[in-house]
Order: sequence, then C-alpha cells, then structure tokens
Amino acid sequence: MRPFLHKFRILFTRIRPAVILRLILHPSLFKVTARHIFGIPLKIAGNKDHLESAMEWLSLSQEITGTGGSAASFGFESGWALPYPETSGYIISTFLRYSSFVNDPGYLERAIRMGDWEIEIQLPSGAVRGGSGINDYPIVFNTGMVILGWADLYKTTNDKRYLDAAVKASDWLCSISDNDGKWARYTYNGIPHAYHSRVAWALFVMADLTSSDLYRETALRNIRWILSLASDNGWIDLMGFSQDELPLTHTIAYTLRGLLESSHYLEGDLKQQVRGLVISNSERIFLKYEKRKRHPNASPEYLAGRFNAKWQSAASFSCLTGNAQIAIIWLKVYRINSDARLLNAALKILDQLKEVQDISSSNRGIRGGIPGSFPIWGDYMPWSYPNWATKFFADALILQEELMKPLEQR
Amino acid sequence: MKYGIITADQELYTKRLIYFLKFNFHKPDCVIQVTNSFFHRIKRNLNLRAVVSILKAQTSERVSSSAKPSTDHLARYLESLGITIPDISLVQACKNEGIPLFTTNDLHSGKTCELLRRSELDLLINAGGGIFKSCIIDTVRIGILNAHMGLLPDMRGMNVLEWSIFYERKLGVTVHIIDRGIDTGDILSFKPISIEKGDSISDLRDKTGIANFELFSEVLIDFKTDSLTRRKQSPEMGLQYFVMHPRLRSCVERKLRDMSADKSSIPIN
Repeated sequence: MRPFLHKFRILFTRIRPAVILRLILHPSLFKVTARHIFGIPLKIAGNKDHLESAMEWLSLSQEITGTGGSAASFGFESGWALPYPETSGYIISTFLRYSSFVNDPGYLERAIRMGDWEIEIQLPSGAVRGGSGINDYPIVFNTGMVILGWADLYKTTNDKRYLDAAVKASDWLCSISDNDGKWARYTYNGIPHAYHSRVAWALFVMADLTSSDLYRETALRNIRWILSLASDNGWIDLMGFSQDELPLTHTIAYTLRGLLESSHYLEGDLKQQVRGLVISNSERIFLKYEKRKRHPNASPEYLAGRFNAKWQSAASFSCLTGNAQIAIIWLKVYRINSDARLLNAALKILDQLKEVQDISSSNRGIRGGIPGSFPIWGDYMPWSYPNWATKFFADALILQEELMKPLEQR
Repeated sequence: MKYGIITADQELYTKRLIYFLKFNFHKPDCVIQVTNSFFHRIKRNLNLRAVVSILKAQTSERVSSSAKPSTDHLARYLESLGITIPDISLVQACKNEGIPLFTTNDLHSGKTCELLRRSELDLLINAGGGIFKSCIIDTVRIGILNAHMGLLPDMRGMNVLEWSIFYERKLGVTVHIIDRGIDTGDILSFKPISIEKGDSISDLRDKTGIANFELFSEVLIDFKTDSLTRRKQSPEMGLQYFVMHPRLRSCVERKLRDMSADKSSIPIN
C-alpha cells in the first residue's frame, strides 16, 4: 500500500494545471495516466509490431518538424517539440539499421534527409548546436552523437559530404579537448561528463574511417580520463548530468555504451580493463534488476531510475530510456561473453517497455512511443515521450532479434 | 535424531515424500505447512502491477503444472516400490500417520520461529517451503536440507533445469544445507538424471522428484550413521540464474526435443 500512496503523493506534486487541462481534453492522455497510476500493463504483441510501431513514431517525429530533423519529444503539455540536432544524429543510425533489417529503402531516405538537415545547421566551427531547435551554442556531446550518424550514413551511401561534415566536427572536438583527455568546455551544464565516452567512440569511428592519429589519440586520452574516475566497486564519477544529482540509468548506460563501443578500437591491457569495467557494471545492474521482485517466480519490478555510488537503487521511478539502453548493453555483453543470463534479463526488461508502449492509441504522439519515465510523471522527462527513448527501444529490439535468431534456428 | 518437513502449497509432493520416507524407516517427527493464501499474498503486495505480476506467476505455475509430463514418473516409481498414496488431504495423512502438523500463514513470523525452536529439530527438509531467513535457519540444530534441481555450485537459483539444458550441463539434483545465500550452503550429495527418448521438461522435472526422494533418504541415513561429508562452497564458485524468459524457454524445449528424439546425440551427462 505504501508504494502506491507514495506514487500518488509524487503525482500530485508533479501535475501542473496545463497537464490537468490536457488530461481532461484528451482521453488518450488520461488513459496513459490512469494506466501508470494503477500500474496496468498493456498487452504485449509480437516484436515485429512493437518495432514497426516505434519506427512509425520516429518517422512521424521527423515529418512533424518539416525540417528533416526529429522532434525532441511529444509532451502532454505542449505536444511535439522542436527538432533536436543531438538525438536526430543518432536516430540516423537507427533508420539505417531498420532499413537494412526490414529491407525498406524508405528509411534510408529518411536517414539521408536527417543527415542533410544536420549538415545544413552545422555551425561554421564544425560543432553541432546544443538544445532542441536552432541555437547558436555548440555542445561537445551533441557533436559526437551527430558524427556517429554521419559516419554511418557515409558508410552506407559513400557520399563524401557526410564524411566531410564529420571530419569538420571531429576537428572541432579535438581542438577543444583538454590535455588530460576530458572535455570541460562547451559541455552540458558546463562540467565534464563520463558519458563523453560516447564522444570518444565517435572519434574512434572517425579515426578508423580517416586513419587520423589525432582523432585516435584524443579518444584514447578521454577513455583514460574516464578510467581514472572509476572506483574499486566499478562506480564511475561524473556519470550524471550535474554534480548535485545522482546519475540516471540513461547517463550510466551512455557511459557504459561509450566505453564498450570504444573497447572495439583498443588493444591489450587497456581493452581488457575497459571491457572488464563495462562487464562487471552491467552484471551489477543485472543483479539489481533480477533481484527486485515480490515473488521468486514473478517478473522483476522496474529498474530504479537512478543509482548511487554504492550501486544502490536511488529512485522510486524508472527511467525507461535508460532501461532500453541497459538492455542494449546486456545484449552486447552477452555477445561478448555468452552469459545468457544477460540476454534473459534484456528480454524481460524489453517486455516491460512493450507493456508501456501503446501501439493502438488514437493519439499519434503516443502510438508507438516510449515515455521518458515510469510512471509518466517520474523525474526523467516527465509527461513526455522523448525521441531517444523510442530510438533506443527500437535499437534494442533489432539487436534482440539478431541475437535470438541463431538460438531459435539451432 | 529429530527431523521435520516444511512445505507451502506442495500438498501432493509432501504427502508422497512422507510416505516414501516412512517406507524407508525415516518417519518425520513433524510437518510444518505454510499456508501462503492467495489473498494473503495480494494483501501484502497491494499494488496493481505487483498483483498482475503475481497473477501471471500463478498462471505460469498453473500452466507449467498443467503441462503434465507424459508419465507421472514419481507415481510410477512409488508404485514400483509398493507405496500407495491415499487420496486424502495432507492434514488427514499426517493425522493417520500420527505426525504432528503445524500450520502458519507467515513463514517468518515470530510464531513460526517459536514453534520451530520449541520443536528442537536437528534437521528440517524443505519441500517447497519458500526462501528462509536467518530467524528460521538458526532454529534448526544441523540445518535445513534442500533439494536443488541442478548441479551446485555451478548452477544456482531459479529454473536451473532449463538453464542446464541451455548450457548443456550435467542434469541432476543436489542436496545441500540452506544458508543465508541462494543455494550457497554446504553440498551434501548429487544425483544425476538422464534424458530418455521423448522426454520433455515436465518429464525431467518429474524425474528430479524421484532423485530428491532418494537423496533425502540417503542423506538421512548418512546423518544417522554420522557418515556424511559436507562440501563447502563459496559465493564466487557459481552463478545465480533467474526465471527464464518464455522465449528462451521455447529454445530450450526445442533443444530438448531434438536431443531426446535421438538419444544417441545427447551431449549431457
């Protein structure tokens, strides 16, 4: 009873008059809220239906902006947001992956439109703009994320425009990197972040494409700097958005994914050290998840949205974006070490995401999208469906299908 | 030596175990039944998502128990020994056999601990009693015996029969002493089970029941004759497994079908 009352108390502190008005006017939004209040899961359909629906939501988020970029989110309060350069950058990769997964050239065209839009709005310095909409300030992380999209587009289309844009962006990243490897300027909240490991990953990709030693050295320095932040229990400092709040699973997963992908470009002891850190941390989170249940045979509860430095659950909401990203990490670690317990946990956590993905809602802003948090008024992106939650969910489903195929064919 | 059996929602299994052990001259000194009623569980977890999850778990339990094995191997085994299980309730069976039966609706209540303390048991056999906290573990002099459906220390936790097939590991039952961890207590004995042509997971589960009974009986003899060896295990010696997702379970079912269709290709054992 206590968690239920706690949920209500938080709901009443979070709900704003504008949201109440929208809930009254839009039964589809009210339905979502009611389901989250009472914890009623939606019926799970086949993976194909969930994936298709997620991709349709992402396509709509692109169409709605009329720019080529994807709207940052669909919110209860203000509907579709402005296009978001950062996340559009990595949604390019999702469109490309899905296009080849279902053999649909339409998604390749979408990826191209998105990549072209990113080139159109690239800052003269080569950096990518911060925030959603068209802002004049550059941000390191956003730049790295768009490089990943451009690099994938270049690999698919062989169109040099994408490589040139990515080179310009990479040069900018190298020019502002600190001697110790961190990025401290042009960062979100003005502080260095451990999740810049994803930026290092982008530079490794670029080093591979261009044989640039500068990109490789800059990326290596950043990875070494991140390793210097790790404690004996695997916890990595500065994984959060700011220093005065505990990191979300979203940014923890960002950090781990960046390290894991970077490890493919490393060798020897450093590779082992980075992989070891990612694998041990993903196992820690996996055990936290699997042990969070009310009955030995029941499904696990939602993963907490935040962790503290002792790896203790530190939030009463779940960050669904982070859950999809964690699923990807578990799947990728399974591919490395064949520990099927991680595959198993990924299947379960993705089922929980399917339980909140309404694939038959009459509201196109909701249909196929993944909310930022569970419950929807949770700390992370309250009352909204961020495009990156749906993006990571779609990525996870594609990866899941790829990994299940050999097991099911055997 | 004084020993008891503790159970929850496993009437038939417990009844069979009592008659089997009695047949082997180990009549239990008492039976403790935990009546974790459905209403009790719902009341404790008043949260709709949890309720749905419990309902799902109940349904899957029912489905897995309704997915009857092609043969009731345990019943046939008992029959072959000449043991007849009367069609009566556990309460009645205990009454008929003169075994004191205690019921409780909360395994970890002070009342249950007190009851166990007063019973002064040397051993307690777990026949699906649940997960034990230290307040219960500490009340039994030697310890609580558990039959685990896999090879310890490698395969700990849930659905280890399925996980063993998935990883093509040895199938069988390990009897161990329950400690504060999950399947981390001292190992007493292991009995392998074999896959036969046409076996399904339900068949194998049923066969583990036979191995459980035989192991319990053997271990009780060893305790009585003071000839038991306890093998310590440390937490890092094995991995803990969790409930298998239905999609992986289907892979395991398929794998087992292929393996048991052609017994000669079985890589296990």
